[in-house]
Amino acid sequence: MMKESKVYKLKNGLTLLFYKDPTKHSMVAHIIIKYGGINNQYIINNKKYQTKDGIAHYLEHLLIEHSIYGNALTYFNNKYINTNGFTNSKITNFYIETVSDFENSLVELINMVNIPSFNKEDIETTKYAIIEEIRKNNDNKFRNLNKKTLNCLFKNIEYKNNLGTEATIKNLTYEEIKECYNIFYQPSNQVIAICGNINIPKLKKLITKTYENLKKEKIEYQLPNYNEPNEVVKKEDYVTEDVNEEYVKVSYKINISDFTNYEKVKLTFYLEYFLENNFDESSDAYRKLIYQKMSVHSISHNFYPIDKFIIVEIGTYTNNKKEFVNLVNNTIKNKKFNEEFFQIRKNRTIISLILREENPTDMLSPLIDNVIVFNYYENDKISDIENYTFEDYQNQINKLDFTNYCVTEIRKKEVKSKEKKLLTVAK
Amino acid sequence: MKKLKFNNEPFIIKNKRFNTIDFIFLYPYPYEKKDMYDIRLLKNLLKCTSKDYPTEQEFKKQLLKKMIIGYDVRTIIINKNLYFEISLFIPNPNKVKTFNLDEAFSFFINAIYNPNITADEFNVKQFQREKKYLAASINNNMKNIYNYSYQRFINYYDNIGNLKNNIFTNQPLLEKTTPLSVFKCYQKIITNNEPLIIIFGDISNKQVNDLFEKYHPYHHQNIVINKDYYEFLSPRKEYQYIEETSHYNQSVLYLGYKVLDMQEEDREYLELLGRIIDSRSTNLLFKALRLNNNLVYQTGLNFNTNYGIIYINAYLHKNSKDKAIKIIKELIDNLNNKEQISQYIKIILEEIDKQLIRQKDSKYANVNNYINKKLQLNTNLKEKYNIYSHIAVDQFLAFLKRVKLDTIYFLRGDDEEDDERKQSI
Repeated sequence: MMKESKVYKLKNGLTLLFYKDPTKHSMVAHIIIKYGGINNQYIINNKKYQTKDGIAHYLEHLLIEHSIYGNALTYFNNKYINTNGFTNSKITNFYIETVSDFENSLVELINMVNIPSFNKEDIETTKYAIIEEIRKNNDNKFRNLNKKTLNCLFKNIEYKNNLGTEATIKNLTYEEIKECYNIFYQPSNQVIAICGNINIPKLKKLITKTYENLKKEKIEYQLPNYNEPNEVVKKEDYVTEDVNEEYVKVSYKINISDFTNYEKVKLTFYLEYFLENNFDESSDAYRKLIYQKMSVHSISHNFYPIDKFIIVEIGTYTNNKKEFVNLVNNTIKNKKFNEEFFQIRKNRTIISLILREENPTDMLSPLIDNVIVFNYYENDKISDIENYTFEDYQNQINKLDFTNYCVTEIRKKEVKSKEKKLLTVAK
Repeated sequence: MKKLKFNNEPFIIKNKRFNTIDFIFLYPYPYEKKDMYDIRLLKNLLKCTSKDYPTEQEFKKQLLKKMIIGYDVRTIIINKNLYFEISLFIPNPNKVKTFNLDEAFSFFINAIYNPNITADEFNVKQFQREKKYLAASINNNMKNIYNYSYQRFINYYDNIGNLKNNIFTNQPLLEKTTPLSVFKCYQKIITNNEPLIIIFGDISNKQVNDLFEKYHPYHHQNIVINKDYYEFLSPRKEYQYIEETSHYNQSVLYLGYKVLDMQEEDREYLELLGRIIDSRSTNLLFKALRLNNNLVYQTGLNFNTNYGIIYINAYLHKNSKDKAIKIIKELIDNLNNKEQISQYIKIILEEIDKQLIRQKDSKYANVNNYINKKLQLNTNLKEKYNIYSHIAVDQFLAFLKRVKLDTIYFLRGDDEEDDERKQSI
């Protein structure tokens, strides 16, 4: 029996992604809304509307906790189905995972997302849990650093975090939340991704029929063009936290609008190779970091796309900010391209694509990313990776402009010794 | 004390459904707390260096070059038993033609038996680096609300010391470690010892025999160890309440329970109790604190049947503390209805039935079941299904009467700017 993936676009604009693996017992369905923390503006009839931060995440809670089935977590859990949702900067994702009654549960998941039943009272009830979640995030020093970094990087993209603040959450109204729901939860803004031992034509038919029954009204809207400049807004900033060692991060803001969608996907592989080769434990930069006693930790690196940019971040725990920033900048300036390393990493990528088959979700997730993040409607293919060349790798990385960057850091905060025992009472 | 017996011949769990092969070497050894940092440093040193590749850079390069997907060292510590686990995770050579099984396996054996040692001690420079890294990681970890609050809680909850004497709380011992002390630890755990060997994946007996003959010839040997897994903590006559303040935004509440006169045969009851309170299908804890009373974003339950403990934590607003304590106490106290318990057990059985189907997709279920059975660590899901199916509810209720609240610990957050937000309680 063959494993296969399929992509469809329905008349209502809904995108369907399927990955069939007849050897598996578990089935997974995601409904992904292209609405995340960054989307706090929209345009209707040439008029721009601004919304408060945190509504996408708030809606995720409302739709799950006050669905037409009551609390959907309880509803699905009672049927032994794993379920939840999450919101990031670009999307809101609702999912189920089950070994039985998949088709009915899929229809229920579609109904949960597309038939909102929350009311004004529910908006108030949901606030408590979200405010606790915000507090939880405020105790995470790296999230606080990220907020500061985003402030430094962007002038027009007003994205701070996905949750909003206690103040914005307290003041949210039913009307503004419902308006955002009506705009962003249209079928054309949704992607359904399914994997497991599935009958693709049957599911496609079922989904088409379910959405026809919903009869959702179409609202024309556009997302704003941010006209975000290539330059960063602020070169340096910091947060103070209760830490033993300071943490320093260099974030590069790189415009990749000249890359095609396929090239952007390819760039994610090349960036991985490049950052590993230049900053991992096998790199010269790491050797210098350790032997010059800048840090005892490894160098962390990651990248993420926002709007027309890819943000490349390189950081570590260090009390030697200046030396570390110089090390990172010099490494980037004198980029090392090692052909042997490139071939080894290419082989590793091919192995990782083979390994993805062990878990259908591992096959589906990269496809979802390709579609949502890069508008590229194909899964990663071994044949594509085999065609990657060392010359192309160097050319693509050399095309990236690393001149715009900011340095953000976590500095030590003086914490008064408050952790003392108050009372010990035997009851 | 029970003896566990096994031999050092590789045991192969054949499975053609997956594209990878795992080699797991499990070295059993009696655990002593005084060795905790030597063991941790040994783990880190074996993970990233060897005699042939003495720096992290060279070692990492070889892992990449030899297409090794994973090489890991970890420890399982259960009361007075240590299992030092070294594992290799590689592609199936039948699926990835460019992969060389011999090269990967010989590297693995070399990394274990030829570490970065000179004159009977670990390389001093690398040792110093790992020691500094360990100290820094411990200190960074203790700044995290989750670890900090847990360490404070077990400091009061653990009246024997098995839980609270850990690497976060005994840093003066770290200072006493030397390249020699880690070497001695290496000798007793690895070189003067024999591992239990498990191989998982699409590999033939002949392939395995050839590999071992070439790179790690062994003589059949029986291994006998003393199984000393249990040290049940006794509840206090009256529970203790401790409250401390912190600078964190959140407040954290722990309610720790222990079992009076806990016996080995109570372990399944204790796990069942944990499942009843906090499994997805019953969801009693989350329902009580979040869905019905809106007090938390996050709550959880943990149990350890080797120590006979079960505790609940909740991250909440400081004003919600008293109500949360009342609700959790009521939740446990109200679990005394025979019909209700029967109903919960039915739900748990149905959930396990579904989990057993899910396990068929899981690569590690077979391996874990084998290790659990061989080392008598835990019963597997199928066995649990049978045990719960035949459980006498009256006996379970009698067990519940012996579950006693021992410690309430509250770490009060410092969200002064938001003191006006009173919960409607």
